[in-house]
Amino acid sequence: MILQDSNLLKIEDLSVDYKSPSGNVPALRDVSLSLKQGEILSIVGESGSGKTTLALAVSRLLTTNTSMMKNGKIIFRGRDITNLKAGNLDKLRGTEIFMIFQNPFMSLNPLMRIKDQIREAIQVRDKRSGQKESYPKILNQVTDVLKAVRIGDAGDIMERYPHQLSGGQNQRIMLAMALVERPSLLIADEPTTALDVTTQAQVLLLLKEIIKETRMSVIFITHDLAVAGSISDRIAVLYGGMIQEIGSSKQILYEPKHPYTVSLIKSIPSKSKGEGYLDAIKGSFQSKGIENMCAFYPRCPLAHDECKRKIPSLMSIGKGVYVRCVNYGEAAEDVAIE
Amino acid sequence: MPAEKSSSFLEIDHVIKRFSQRKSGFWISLIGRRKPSGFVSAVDDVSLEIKRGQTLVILGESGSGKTTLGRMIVGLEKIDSGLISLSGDPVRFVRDRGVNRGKLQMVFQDPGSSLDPYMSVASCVAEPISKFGLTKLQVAAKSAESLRLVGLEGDILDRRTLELSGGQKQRVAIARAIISDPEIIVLDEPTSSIDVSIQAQVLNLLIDLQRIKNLTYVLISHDPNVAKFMADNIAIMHLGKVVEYGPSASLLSCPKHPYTKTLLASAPKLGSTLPEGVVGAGDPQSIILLPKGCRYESRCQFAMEKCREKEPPLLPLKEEPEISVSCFLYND
Repeated sequence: MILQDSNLLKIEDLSVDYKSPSGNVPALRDVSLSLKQGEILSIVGESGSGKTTLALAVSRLLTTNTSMMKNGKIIFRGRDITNLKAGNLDKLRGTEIFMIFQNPFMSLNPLMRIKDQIREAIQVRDKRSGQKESYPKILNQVTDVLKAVRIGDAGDIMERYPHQLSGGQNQRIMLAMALVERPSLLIADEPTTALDVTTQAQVLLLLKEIIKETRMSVIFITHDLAVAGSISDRIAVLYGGMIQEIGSSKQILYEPKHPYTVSLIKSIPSKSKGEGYLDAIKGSFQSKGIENMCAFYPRCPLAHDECKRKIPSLMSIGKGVYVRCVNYGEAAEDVAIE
Repeated sequence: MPAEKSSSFLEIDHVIKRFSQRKSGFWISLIGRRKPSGFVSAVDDVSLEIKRGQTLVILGESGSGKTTLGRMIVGLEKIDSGLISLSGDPVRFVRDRGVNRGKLQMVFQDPGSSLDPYMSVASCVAEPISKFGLTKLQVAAKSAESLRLVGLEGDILDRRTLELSGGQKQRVAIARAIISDPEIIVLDEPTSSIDVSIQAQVLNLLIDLQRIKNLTYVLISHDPNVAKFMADNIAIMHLGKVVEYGPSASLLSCPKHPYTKTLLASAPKLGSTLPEGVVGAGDPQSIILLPKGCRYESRCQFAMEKCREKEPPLLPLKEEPEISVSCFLYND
């Protein structure tokens, strides 16, 4: 992949293993990515594809007793953060890299009122920039930021505890904290998966607005191609810990090249009852036995002998699209999205 | 829906379920007097009917009462008022033993928590009919049959359910549901905890089983795509009420109720941008402090004076009588 200096984040050949008594299990294999300032990149994959591991690796939240970063580099703002020590990491997280997880209840302190959680975020930011603000001034900021994330009754909500709010409201509190910190990189790991469809649409719209306003870069992790398509500039499809296809959202959704991407799009239910079966992908993801072949080989409708000889390399096929498949051309024939 | 009564198979007749809310706390628990301080109307006056061999999809957000309704259909929840009957016989609460035996089954959302993790697949599937007075041979034959139908074979039968993948676990749960030859299966979000790549397999399997065994499904879902693929009829639930009911095709292509419109527009679709404008602002109405008028009024962009004062009844449309809507925009 061609890497330029305008990149905020560069990941080079990142490989991560999880330790287990019966040998190491690879979670990420030679993942290379770059992310520009203000760009939104979605990482799409099913469970076990390594998408959350990638998020944790970038924010350096992987613990060394369960996982092992075998090789690779993470370069953030031109600085190698792969082996950064704990003290320096603290300065990075929150202000520079901010993470939002699937379940906001796990991220918020259950014993703190909403206003105190956000106040804390403001104070951390102030401390780093060497400012000091009076309490009423901070409270004013809390109200402002709550209004910015469309919390209707800010005065009432800020006095409450996380358990008294709905999932959508809590996720908006997380966004409010992100808005306070104004990080240069936001990593959102399935931020709307636990929410209802109507709330999901609201939170996604809000997130899009915040991204536009703050011009932060975003890594958006999701299992839902439709959600990814609605929010991102580029999409990377992960399977078996490897990037199988990466390119602009339009390219991935309308002209998918990799058989996995094609199958994934085709397996989204679009038929009515009585119109026949859905195009299901056969089998399920297996992490064993795919070390030296294409990870999708056991399930691929186009698999042939060459696919199991070695891992295909990620090839550039123009228009900024990269595909890891020996016969990428054949897969795209019969997919059409209106 | 007051249609011709003879053809209906499962009838849900003005069913109400309320959960009492109690004040809790250290001192209250010491005194031991915990009086209900209010009620949550989880399901409020719902009437529906399903024909044999058909699928009714109940679509709604969390808190809409769809799971509670599903649990009442199989008798897992006591009905406060109203009646659910299966070919004329009332469905009883499960603790009144033996009454519905084997006729009603349920497949839960998360197979990881609904299956005993330490049971082998074979014994897990055979368990529901273990008290039916069948011989060991008959039980074995039946469980082999239902495992074959869901596509589980070979050495997988001796494994414990905790060793299986999400999709395999849901197959076990389905095999467990069909072994007692049920007439109705309530499927509570059967694919929402599994990957999209596996979801299609499970949905295809459910369609197959319905055809082979002439099963009647009540499918609870929040995904309009799944609803479209599975449903004959769809009921949209919002805060305990059915707000729209009708045949799948016409309801999905031409939604009437403002809530249905928002719900369908909010579902992410491939290659479309986010639905600005259609997405109602604000949070759902609290289910505890319900307004006296329409329950969707606070989020509805078409709200009128009338909506605040009176609750709209669920009535069939004049021009399309197979669709019922509870909204003053369509009936006054």
